[in-house]
Amino acid sequence: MKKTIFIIEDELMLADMYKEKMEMAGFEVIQAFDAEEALKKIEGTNPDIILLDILLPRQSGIYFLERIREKEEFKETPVIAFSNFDDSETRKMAFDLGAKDYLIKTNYTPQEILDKVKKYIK
Amino acid sequence: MPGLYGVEIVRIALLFVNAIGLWFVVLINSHKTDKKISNLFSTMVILMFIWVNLAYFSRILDIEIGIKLIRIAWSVTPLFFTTILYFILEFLGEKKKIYQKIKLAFLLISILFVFITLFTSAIIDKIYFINQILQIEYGILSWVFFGTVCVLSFLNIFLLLRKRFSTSENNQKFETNCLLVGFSSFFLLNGIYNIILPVFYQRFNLYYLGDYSTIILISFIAYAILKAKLFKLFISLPTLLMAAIFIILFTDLIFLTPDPTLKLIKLISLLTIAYISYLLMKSVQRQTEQREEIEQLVQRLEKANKDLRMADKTKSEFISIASHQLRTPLTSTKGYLSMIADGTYGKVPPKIKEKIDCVFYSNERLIKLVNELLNVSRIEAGKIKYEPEKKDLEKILYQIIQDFRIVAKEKGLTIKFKKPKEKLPEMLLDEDKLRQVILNIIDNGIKYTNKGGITVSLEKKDNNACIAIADTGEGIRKEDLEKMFQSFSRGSTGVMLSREGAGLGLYIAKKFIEMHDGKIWAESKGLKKGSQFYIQIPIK
Repeated sequence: MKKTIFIIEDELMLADMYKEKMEMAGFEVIQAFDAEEALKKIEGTNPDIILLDILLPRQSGIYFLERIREKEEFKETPVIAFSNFDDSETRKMAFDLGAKDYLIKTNYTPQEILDKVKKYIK
Repeated sequence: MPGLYGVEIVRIALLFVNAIGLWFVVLINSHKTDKKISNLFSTMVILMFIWVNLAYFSRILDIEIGIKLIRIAWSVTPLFFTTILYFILEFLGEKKKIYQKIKLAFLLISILFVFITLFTSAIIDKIYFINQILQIEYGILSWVFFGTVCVLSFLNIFLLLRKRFSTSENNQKFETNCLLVGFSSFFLLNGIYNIILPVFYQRFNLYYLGDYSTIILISFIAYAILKAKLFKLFISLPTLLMAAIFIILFTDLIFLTPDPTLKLIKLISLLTIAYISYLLMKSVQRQTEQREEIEQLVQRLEKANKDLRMADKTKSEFISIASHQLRTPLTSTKGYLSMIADGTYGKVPPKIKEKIDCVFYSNERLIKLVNELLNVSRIEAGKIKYEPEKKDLEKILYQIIQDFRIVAKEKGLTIKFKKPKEKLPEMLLDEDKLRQVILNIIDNGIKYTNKGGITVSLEKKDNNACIAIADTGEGIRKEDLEKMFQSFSRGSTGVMLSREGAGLGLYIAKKFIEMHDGKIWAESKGLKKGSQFYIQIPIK
């Protein structure tokens, strides 16, 4: 059975790139472009891993992470936070909310991100 | 000795008017007020002196002298009102051309009246006494005279009222109110006792109430001037004391000193006191100015601090925007190039792959540059935090060296790790930052070395962890050794060998090692003699 990866990324080009890479690697991909949309879409799904952009329009990725951690079914879902915003406070907040890793997007190729996904997936 | 009845009260009142007028002239001129304002004020007071004193003397001397004196007193009256007009327009900052023309017109009319009043009987025809009270017979142009004075009075009040109701600033409102109250009181009293009662009711005995009301006007004007200049009017106790002493001595000089010699001595003393008071007030004013200057400096400092905080906030926002906006396109370029190169979209001919690798490599350089620039911005904005944790330094160095083995081998270089003789304990390190430093130095070593290799050693010395990274590369000139750790410096070797980088890596390395309370420095015997980089971090 295909594993599901939920990608929350507001930059269309990057979202398509990661979606393409993950689908080629055999994942089923659910996409969302902002936190509110992601909160709606995640209901009724059970992703095996979440790839979460931090800098999102209106509400941040941290806001999304806080909301899903309040729900029993998503308490243990592995999350990889990624962003081009390298801020130690945000990084700490992500780890405090159970993120497995905090990646700076420019420092990783899609293949390297895929390797991280495979490392942390449940 | 004169008693304190009727005429004597008038005389004393006159003395007080003179003393207070003189005092105000000294006060205004001892403060740093606008030159024009203080000159106009002084002119007003001088004209007032002429008016009130000559009007008084014209009533106590014989008729031949009396008529001359009263004509002189009246001749300056339109000038007095015109000076008030000049003063009000100057004080209110009215620069419109129409007012310049009005001022000039009234000045010419006033000067004309000086000559008409002095040398003709057109204004004052005759004077005579009834029961020791001076009576005046007016000339044919007396109505023009009174009309001019009234027009000037109404004009002055109009200007003040207009300003009063058009200004919203509290300070300006207060000053205009002062002038309005002063001028209205003077206009009313002067109108009643110098025009209405004498002209319509032939009552001449209360002239002094009209004349001496000039001091009410002068006082309010002086107060407005000083209030406008000083944010908080500070009439100091010494100033008041000196004013009281001056008035008392002045009165004593006039009333209680018949002896001419003594009068002269007292006059000299009075003038000396006036001069000392002037100096005292100047000193008080200087102190007030210094206090104001300090207040202004404090305000400027507060504003500068606020601007700095804004600039700091703007800098932080720029860093956040720049990091996101600059990096996003670099991420997609990196991503798609890597996917093309690794065959995600199909096999790529070697020649095309070679070019794609070049573009990918250029993009990596750009990413590195952006990372370094952002790091420098964050360091300088104080936004980079030192986050130490207990770490095994030997393990970190070993992992880094392992990562470089392939790169070094590709260039035909060796890379060795000399472990410490005595195992180092775990120590507080910000691993992320330390990695960046070691990576940067080893990367530079490989870049600037064409044969031989890199040796990394670690040892414990006097409770410090000492890392040495030595290469057999191009070496560094003596004059470049110190400059290398400054931002945007790459040393002469860097310029010759390679055009990569902006010279920020070692600057950032120095900042990161300093966060560990450590030291970093470089040594080299010169060009083509290799280089050694040393890092010393206290074991905590």
